[in-house]
Amino acid sequence: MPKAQIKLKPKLAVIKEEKIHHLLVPGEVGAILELTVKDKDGKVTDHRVMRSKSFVRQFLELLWIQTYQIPEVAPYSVRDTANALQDICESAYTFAANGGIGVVTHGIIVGEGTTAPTIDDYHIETLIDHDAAPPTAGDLQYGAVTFGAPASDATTSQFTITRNFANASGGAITVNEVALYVKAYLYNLSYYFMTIRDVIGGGIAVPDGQTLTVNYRLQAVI
Amino acid sequence: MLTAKLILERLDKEGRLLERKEQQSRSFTLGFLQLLYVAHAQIQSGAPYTINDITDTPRTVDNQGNIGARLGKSNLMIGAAPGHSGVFCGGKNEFDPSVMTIEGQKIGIQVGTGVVAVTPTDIALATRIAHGRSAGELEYGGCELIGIAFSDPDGEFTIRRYFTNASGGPITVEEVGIYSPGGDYDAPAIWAFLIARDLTGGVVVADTEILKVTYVPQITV
Repeated sequence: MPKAQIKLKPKLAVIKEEKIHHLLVPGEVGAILELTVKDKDGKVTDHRVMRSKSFVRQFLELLWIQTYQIPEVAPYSVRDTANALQDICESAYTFAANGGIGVVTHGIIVGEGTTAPTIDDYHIETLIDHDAAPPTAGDLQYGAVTFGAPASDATTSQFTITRNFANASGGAITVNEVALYVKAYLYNLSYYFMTIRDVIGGGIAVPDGQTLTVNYRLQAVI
Repeated sequence: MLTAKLILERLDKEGRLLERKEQQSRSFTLGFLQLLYVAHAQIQSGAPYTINDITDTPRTVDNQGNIGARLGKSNLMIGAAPGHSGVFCGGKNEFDPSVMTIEGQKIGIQVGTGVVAVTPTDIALATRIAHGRSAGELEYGGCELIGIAFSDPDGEFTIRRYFTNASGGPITVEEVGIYSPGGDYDAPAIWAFLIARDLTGGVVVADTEILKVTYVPQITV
């Protein structure tokens, strides 16, 4: 059986104004979640666009740390994706989501869990792991996280975080949840935190040989 | 989803409440998304990202931390010292005050007299009120962050600043906003950027009175 390959090259791109989806209302800062499944020839077999529901508490806590400039000498504790409270201070790593190929510690993460999000969620419910040696049943190949540069139209500003997940597992996989993991830091140590978690109603099926592309478009609407 | 309440309270010189207005902040601008982008994408000094600062000058911004293992970076800072007090910003030359310091009044909550409608690409308050005691000026206190709290499904914290009118006459505050810094590791340099701007409908602050401006960012799952 041919192995699925992640062929899309990482790129930075300014999103054209006409491509900005308007699902948020004035005053909201949030995210649009866009899911696209393509077959091995690039044909779109499924495409959905929805409001992301769920900044979780770690997003506000990391924003607090960075806007307050919480110092190393008086750090603030945040629950990481391993369910441990970690002391964190302001740093150049706060919100880093630039996970590389196969990295499941930060960037967009996918899973199979179906439990509705709560503000206290700190990790994805049931992680779909990176398929480092395909075919591995139940795993997806994580591409590198890429970013679309900020752009705006008359009402909406946004930038985009993108990751491809190729299915070479030998069977269909249903993605039920999507999350954003980011890095933060305290002297010489990096930790990882979930800032967004969404559950996809009914899930989205990724057949063997196909690729799921997830876009989180962070937006602010006036 | 993140939203923010904006509260304006006018106090007399004894601190007694004279007027209170509360509204939904509508106006996180492109600058906020740009600084979040620089952080999430980990933009490095070799290929910085350009943002127009509060003087409408294009500035190169990155998310590279200071040398050594501390990795300090002041991008997105809102908490600030009062008036002319210097705020040191993390970066390559974090101990060089000639290039890595901003006056406290240029960071955090700002006030102005402009009435031009808000757009996502605003780069500054339309007509900022300067810090001081001369005609048309207000004294900027420190910009405080307090009270982070969570109760499922909500979370919030508070950003507030006091503005004292010692100008000798009334001043009408028509707009408020938030400035936040971004730095260039290689330059090295630090600049201020607009990340939020709202119109108030007008609050008249008489001589000797105090204006308290509060933003409350909130998330709800």
